Amino acid sequence: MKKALAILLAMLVAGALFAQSGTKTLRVYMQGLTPREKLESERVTPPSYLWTVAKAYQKLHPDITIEFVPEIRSNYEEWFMTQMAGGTAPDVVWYQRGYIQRDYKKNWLADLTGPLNEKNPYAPSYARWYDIFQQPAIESGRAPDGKIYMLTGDIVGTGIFYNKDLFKKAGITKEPDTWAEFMADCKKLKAIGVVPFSTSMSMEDGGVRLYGSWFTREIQDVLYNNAMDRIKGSKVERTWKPGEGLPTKVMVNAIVKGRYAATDPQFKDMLRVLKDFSQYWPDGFWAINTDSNQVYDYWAKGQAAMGWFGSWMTKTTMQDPLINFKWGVFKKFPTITKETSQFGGSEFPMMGGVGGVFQYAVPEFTKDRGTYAAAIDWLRYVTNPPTIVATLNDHGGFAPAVMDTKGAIDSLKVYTDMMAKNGTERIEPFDSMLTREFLDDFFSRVQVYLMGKTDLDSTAAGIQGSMMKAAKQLLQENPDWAEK
Amino acid sequence: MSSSLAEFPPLIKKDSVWRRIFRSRECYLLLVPTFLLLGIFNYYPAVSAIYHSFFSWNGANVQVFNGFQNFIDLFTDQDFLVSIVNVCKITVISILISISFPILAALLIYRLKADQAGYFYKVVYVIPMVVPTIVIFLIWKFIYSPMDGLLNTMLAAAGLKVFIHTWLGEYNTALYSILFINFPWVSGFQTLIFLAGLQNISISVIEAAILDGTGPVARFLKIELPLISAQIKLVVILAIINSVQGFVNILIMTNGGPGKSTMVPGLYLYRNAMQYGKMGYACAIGTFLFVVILTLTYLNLKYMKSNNDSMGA
Repeated sequence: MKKALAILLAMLVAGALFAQSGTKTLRVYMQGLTPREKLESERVTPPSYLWTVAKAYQKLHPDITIEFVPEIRSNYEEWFMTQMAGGTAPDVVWYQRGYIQRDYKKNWLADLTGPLNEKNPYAPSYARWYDIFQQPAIESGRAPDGKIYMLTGDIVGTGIFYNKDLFKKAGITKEPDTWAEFMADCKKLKAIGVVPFSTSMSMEDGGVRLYGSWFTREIQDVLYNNAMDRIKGSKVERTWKPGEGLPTKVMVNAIVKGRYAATDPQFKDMLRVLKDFSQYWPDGFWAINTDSNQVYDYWAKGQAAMGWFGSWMTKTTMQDPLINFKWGVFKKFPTITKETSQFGGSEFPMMGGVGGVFQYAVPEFTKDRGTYAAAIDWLRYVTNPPTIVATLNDHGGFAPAVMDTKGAIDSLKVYTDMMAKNGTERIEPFDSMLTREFLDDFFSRVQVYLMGKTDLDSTAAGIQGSMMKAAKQLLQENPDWAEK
Repeated sequence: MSSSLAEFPPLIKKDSVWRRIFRSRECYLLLVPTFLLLGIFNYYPAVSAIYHSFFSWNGANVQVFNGFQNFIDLFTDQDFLVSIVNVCKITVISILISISFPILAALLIYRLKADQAGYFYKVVYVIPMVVPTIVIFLIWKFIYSPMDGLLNTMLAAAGLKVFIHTWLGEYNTALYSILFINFPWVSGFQTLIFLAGLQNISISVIEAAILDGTGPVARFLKIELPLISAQIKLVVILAIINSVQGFVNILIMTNGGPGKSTMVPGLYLYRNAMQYGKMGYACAIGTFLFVVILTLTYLNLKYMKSNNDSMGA
């Protein structure tokens, strides 16, 4: 018995020593850039370039093996939170930049400010790693404590895709310029028996949290255009640079002090415009399954005339055999004029901005795990401009947010141009403005209102109560945020 | 002769408990992994949840003792109260479903004269049990799809467009659509339990009843049903536990919507823990559910008579 135990112990020690001296595995979660084989059911080629990158990296570092964690298609936030709480997250994780304000005090993510101020050995022409990135992109990872916790390396854009054949059939000869024209076109499309606009308002990630979020953020930016300075207490220009708008800290104070409320006439008008628009969405839009991209399929099959899709769909729409019609993307969102709302008159901002698929962070516990240095090195390698450009080209849906974009594909230019011209929305997205609890409550109220189960005033009052509760909670958790 | 047996020392000296355990140490050692795993994955989390229900805990680095505050908040939380109402409806309907249709199915199999046919139907009822639950939910989600779902397509084809609904998206239909899943609710576990109970009834009792001229309905109501009351009790307890704890079906089908019309405590617990970072509050919800289930199970055991109870077993 003793002999057997001694042998077992010796084997364990030998195994541990061997593991120490062998290669180190770096587990990386690259979200939409995760390389994978094409499935039989897929109509579009998935990304694969990071396999080439990993191979080249491993050749340089034979002691490191890159292991790609398979893409998590839904409930990523829950997965992330569980992995972080359990200390089992990969060595590199994808992280939505907007959540940094919510999570930075949890000590989950490593501070990258120091490494970013050092030279990147894979891009020696830049004085610092930081200088590789376009400034608004890299600055978007900076938390209220002044530290940068994540790398943002791409730009994402969205636009209204439309079926030119159906427009022609309905007698629509040009893209609508104003919201009123847009509504009139929707009416014509409905008259020929097609759904004018494909969208979903289900309680899923791709429902209210995508379309609900986009609609409300865009419309409110227009309707609050003349009230932005009042909310912040200083001038707010519309640019595409995160941090120059109204970040969480400003919004929390504005809510508590009453400078921004769901009972504002602008906020209520936003809900009213949305409700009016919803008559042109598919029947049962509040229950459309978004897991299987039903919203997109509805448009691609020609059952709906329009859909709001992103730059990440560029490759899909170009390769998709389902699409057998001529299609285009609106050059701009139809303007809400005074005819539609007394607060109208300004152009829509671009829905998009920095941070899409390329938003990565390194968990703090990699320092204990012994993989921190390797994780930083891998990210330095991947963000070398030619590598990041080639990786994003392979995906085809995101423009690189680095200084040197030589070789980047042109098809995304329409989005970056729109963003540079119109800027992005200034009020912090509801996803990251307050708490997730508020977000769920807010969208469940919006959903019920759009279904016609509640009226405008009670909806606004309910949202306001929830908003105030969340703002006070955040002020309690972050007393240093309070306005002097 | 008044002296009791206790006055006489036992002829064989009884070993102490520890000695007996030591003598059977191999058996106990074989049980250790089971108890270890049970302790780690079942008992430790449960005890930890009760402990943490008295804390304001974000699951990361903030943990402050706050006494009964989580429980006080719970009973003033409108979303939680809505979820309680929903789970009451689900529990009542689930109990009815669990003890009605499966009993009927079990009885039909039991009454079959041909053994081969009985065996065939048993297999037919059991086969769906091997299909993962998640697959069943996803299939039903497709059936209920508002645009091209099977149910609405069939209704339209049958000229019954007036009955077309956004089944999972309407206030009045969402919860009941979820409960309708697996209709006619006869496959699997409950049916087998009831069938086992029926087959356990002594053949002499049945023969006596038949000789006395008892009809099929009276035989069921007065003999078979009372004699499977232990099985009914078990199925009721399981239905209560599953209804109060369960939320996977709702998470997949409606995620608590539309609005909050299908919110249940389990889903609310999950959201607080995994989405809102309110681990302490989630633990309080879990502790409350534990107390509710324990109480309902106790009441069920105490007040629902089974055949074993009536026979004094």
